[in-house]
Order: sequence, then C-alpha cells, then structure tokens
Amino acid sequence: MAKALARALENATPETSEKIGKNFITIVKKYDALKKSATILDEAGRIKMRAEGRRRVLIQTARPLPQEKLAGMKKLFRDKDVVSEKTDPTLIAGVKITINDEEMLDNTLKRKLENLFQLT
Amino acid sequence: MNYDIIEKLKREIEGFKDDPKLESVGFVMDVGDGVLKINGLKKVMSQEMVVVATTGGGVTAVALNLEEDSLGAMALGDYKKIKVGDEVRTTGKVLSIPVGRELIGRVLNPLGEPVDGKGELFGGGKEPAYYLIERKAPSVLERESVKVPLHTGIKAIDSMIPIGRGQRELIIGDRQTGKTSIALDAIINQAHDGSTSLTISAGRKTPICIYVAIGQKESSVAKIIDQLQAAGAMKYSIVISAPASSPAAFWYLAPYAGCAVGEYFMDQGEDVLIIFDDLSKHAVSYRQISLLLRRPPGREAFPGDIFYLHSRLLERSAKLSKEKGGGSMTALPIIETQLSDVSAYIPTNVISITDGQIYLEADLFYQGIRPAVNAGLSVSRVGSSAQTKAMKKVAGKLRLELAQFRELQAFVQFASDLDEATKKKIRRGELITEILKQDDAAPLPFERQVAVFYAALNGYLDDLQKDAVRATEKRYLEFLGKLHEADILSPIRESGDLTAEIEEKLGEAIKNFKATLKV
Repeated sequence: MAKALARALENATPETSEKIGKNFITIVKKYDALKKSATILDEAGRIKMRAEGRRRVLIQTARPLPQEKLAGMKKLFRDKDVVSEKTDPTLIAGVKITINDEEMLDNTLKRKLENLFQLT
Repeated sequence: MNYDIIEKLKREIEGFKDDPKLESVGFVMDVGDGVLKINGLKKVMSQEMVVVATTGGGVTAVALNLEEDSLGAMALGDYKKIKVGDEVRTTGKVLSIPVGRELIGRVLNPLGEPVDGKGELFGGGKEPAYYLIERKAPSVLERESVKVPLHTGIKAIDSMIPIGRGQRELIIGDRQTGKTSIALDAIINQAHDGSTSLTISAGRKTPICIYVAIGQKESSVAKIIDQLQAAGAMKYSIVISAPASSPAAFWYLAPYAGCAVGEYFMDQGEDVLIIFDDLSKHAVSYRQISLLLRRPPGREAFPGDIFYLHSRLLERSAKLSKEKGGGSMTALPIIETQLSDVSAYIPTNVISITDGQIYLEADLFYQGIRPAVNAGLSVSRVGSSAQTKAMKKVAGKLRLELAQFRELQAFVQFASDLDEATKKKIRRGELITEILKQDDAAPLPFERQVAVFYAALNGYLDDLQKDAVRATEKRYLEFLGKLHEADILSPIRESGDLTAEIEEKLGEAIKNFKATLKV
C-alpha cells in the first residue's frame, strides 16, 4: 500500500494530492488498517524521498544542541536532505546520527560504555 | 570495592579503543511469537546473527527471510523484551556454536551454552573453535563408502538391519514403541564395541555419541541423562537439549547444532553417532516459524522447503575419505508416526532421504515382542557391506527363516495337521522370535550375539521349550563368559570373523553347555 501511495504521489499537483489523500483514507478504512496508517505513510514518505534522491537524517543527542552547533551539523548534509533532531537522555553524552533508518554513526557515551562492558 | 576489580577495570578502560563507524542498522517493525520483522539492515547475510538493543539488554536473533525492504528474523533470547522501534544491529557473524573436546559429558542448549550446572565449558581463558550451525555437506570426493560396522547391541538390528559408520538409518514408529530405547541402547553399547587396540586397527573405535532432544519433556531428558550416566555412557556422550518449554527457534536449531558438534569430531578423524529425537517435532517447529514468517503453506501446512530442511541436515552425515582424516558421522533420526501411518508427509520424506529404516510396530510391541522391530518393513540399504564376517556367516539365513515363519504363522493354531517340515519351520521361527527378544537398556556385545545366533540357527536350541529359550540364552552367555572369554568371545570381537577353528570351539562349547543343562 505504501508503494502504491508513493507511486500515486509521484507526479501529483497540490489539488490531486488532496484527492489522493482522501482516497487513501477511504481505502485504509475499507481494509480496516487505520492503526497501521502511520506506518504506511512513513514508508510511503521514505519511498518517495528515496526516489527523489533525498535522505532523512535524524540527529540524536542527550541534551538539546545549541542552535549554532545544530546549524553547523546540518551543513554536513545536502540541502535537499530532511534533517531532524531529537533528544534522548539515555545516550548520556555524544551524538548519534541515523540516515534513512538504515545507516547509523553512533558516537555516544552509552554505546562506548556498552562496548567496554559488552552489555550487548 | 575489591582492589583487584578496580585494577581490572582500570586496565580494561586504559586498553579500550573506540572507532565509531557508519554501520548498517534496522528497526523492529513487528514482533510476535518469537518472530521479528525488521526494517533496514540492507547488508545483512542470511543466517547472520543480529542484536536487538532493548531496554533490558541485547537480544540475539537470526536473519531468516531477506526481503526487498524488510527482514524476517527469529529471536533466540527472550522475545518479550523486544518492542516495536527497537534498534537492530548486525554482528557480521553467521550463527555458529563453540566446539571442542570439553563438550564431552556435558548437556548443552542449541546455542552451545551449558545447561547442566557444571560451570563454564571452556575454562582458563581458552578460546574455543566455532563451527557454523548451517554447513555444506561433504562432497562426493571427500567421501568414502560405508564399510565399518556400528553395532547397536540389539540382536534384531545387528543381525538383520546392520548399520555402518557414516550411514543414516531412520528409526520410525508410533508413540511408545521403543524408538528412544533403541537409540539409547545404541549409545550405551558403544562402550563395549571398540577401544581395544585390535578393534581400533579393524576400524572400530568408540564413537562420540550426540543425543539431540527436540521438543521433549524436561523430565524425559533428565531421565535419559540419568540412564546414560548410570551406564557410564556420558564419558563419551554429549546431550543437546531443546526441551518442550524452549522456543520453536531452539527446536529448529537443535539438530543443526548437534550436527555441527559432530562435524568437529568427524573432522578430527573420529567416529560420531548422532541421534535426532525426533525430526517430526523438528518439522513442526519449522512449520510454526515459517507460518509466522508468512511463508506460503503447502501440504499439511508445511512450507515448500520442508524436504530440504531434513535432506541438508542428514546429508551432513558421512564417512570421510582417508585424505580428510577418515572420520565418520552416523545418524539415527527418529520419526514418530500417527496410527502407524508411514505414508504421511514427513515420514515419507525422511524415509527417502535415509539409507534405510527400522520400523517399530505397536502390535508387535503389545504382543511382547520387544524390540518391536518389523523385520519385513525394516531395511538397511548400505549396512550389509559393513556387517562383520562373523555376523554375516551366522545370521545370513535369519531374515529368510523369519520371513518363512511369518508366512506360516497363520497355521500355527492348526499345528497338529501340518507336515513335519512345516512344523519344524514354525518351531524354528518361534525360537528365532524368542531369541530376538531383548530387554530394555541391555545391549548385547556383538561377539555374544554371534554366539547366540550360531547356537540358534544351527539347531542346537531346537529341542528347547519356547518359554525356556530366554533363560537358557542367559545361562549360555554366562557359561561362555566364564569359560570361553579368551578362546571364543575375545577372538570374535577382535577379528570380526568366525574362523573354522573358532567355530569348532564354539560348537564344542555349546555341546558342553547342553550337557550341563541335562544334569
């Protein structure tokens, strides 16, 4: 369903997009898959972005990053990439960057401690 | 805190090197009944171990279904800890099991972790070798034909359905027909069959025995271990247990793990005997995993590759060539049938894969014929070339005589109306049936079997009453053991042959024994 939605949205104008959105909700209701709609939309977004050559980047830190540091990090990526940030205190310190939910650079203290004591 | 611990921690921290790299990750999309659906992990290998980072620590899983956008994996740890969205990382390691001589005498789970409470397997910081759980079977060039016997200690089997080292012989029958008993007797008997310098030169050394329990009750496994321990068989045995309470993933992995352990010893040039108890439950566990992974179901809801599941496992049993060390792995898979239906899906599959089958019949079992081996339906396709000359010489006619007896058995009730020749055949058949009966956990060394069959098939016991046969056999064996161990039994055991000279001595001994009966 996610693939079909991404394909339908490929060359859609703002007007047709709205129509596609409505049709999508009707179909999701028909197949009783409202609970899974968030996952389907997420997957469709991922497929669409991949087709457009864009990446979804998530920067995770233990505490919120100062704006200038965040801007500096965002410069590391291409302009068309979608960069978002998230705080997760369990990381203790350092930064974790996830690209397209497929690749990850984990330079957090949490991982270093786990590696040191081989918790995982 | 203890000073030593602090020092150790200091050393660990000082020597710690960290080099963060861009690594492939995935996220759990779906989890249920031990099966995970993971998004991402594009570079994962089939059968690779992946680690799911949960709040309660890492849980290992094995990659099974590699799909276009996702991955189907089977959790090996506590899957209840796993939540949707948990991070999954690859390990770069394909599922493998630690192997070494330290495994002998131990009870392990299918991941190679000890479950017998006897402590670590590899003490003293020794790094064990690792063998892949899924491994390719030896090729044609690496193999050699089966020619060394593996005696089970069961008269009906060693005489009529001989098993050779490197053979795959299926034990099939309904529940409660003595399938496990045959397997255990075969393990216990290995202590008597080999180990002396002469038997080793004849190619018979004590094999390492591996008992793989799949989906059995913990109490049954405990009983089996006790039985092996009491018989002194744990000295050369390893038990791999995936009990009924363990997840389906363990049931599925257990025979492959046992096989990997067996291959380690086979590669060292040793002989191995491996029992898979039982493959019906193994097939059921694979069906469960496959259905949860949403693979299309086929006949009896088993997945399409159910034949390959067992063929790739049993193909790993082999007799290796001399260049490869000459080791062997003999497999005795067990299949439980329902209402004696051997034409069901899994039994027919395994029958066609193996080199013969020992068919146990519930009717015979209830008639008191134990082991309840049906000689007509049981067959060994390669074992006859491995049978010792002595056994071939004495038991060659056994199958034929038994078959003739079964044909005439219907007339037993009208015995008075029969001619003398038929009466004789019936009497001989009854005698053989009695001789083939054997108690549980009492395997008989091969040379003693030869002596018994020699006496029975050469008419020395024809004058005995049916009820007296087993008692007389016992006394006869005691007589031989006490008076003729050195001049009859020992030479048969070590040469594997019944020479004219020994035959003459044996005939004489039987006459002497019969004389003691008349007193």
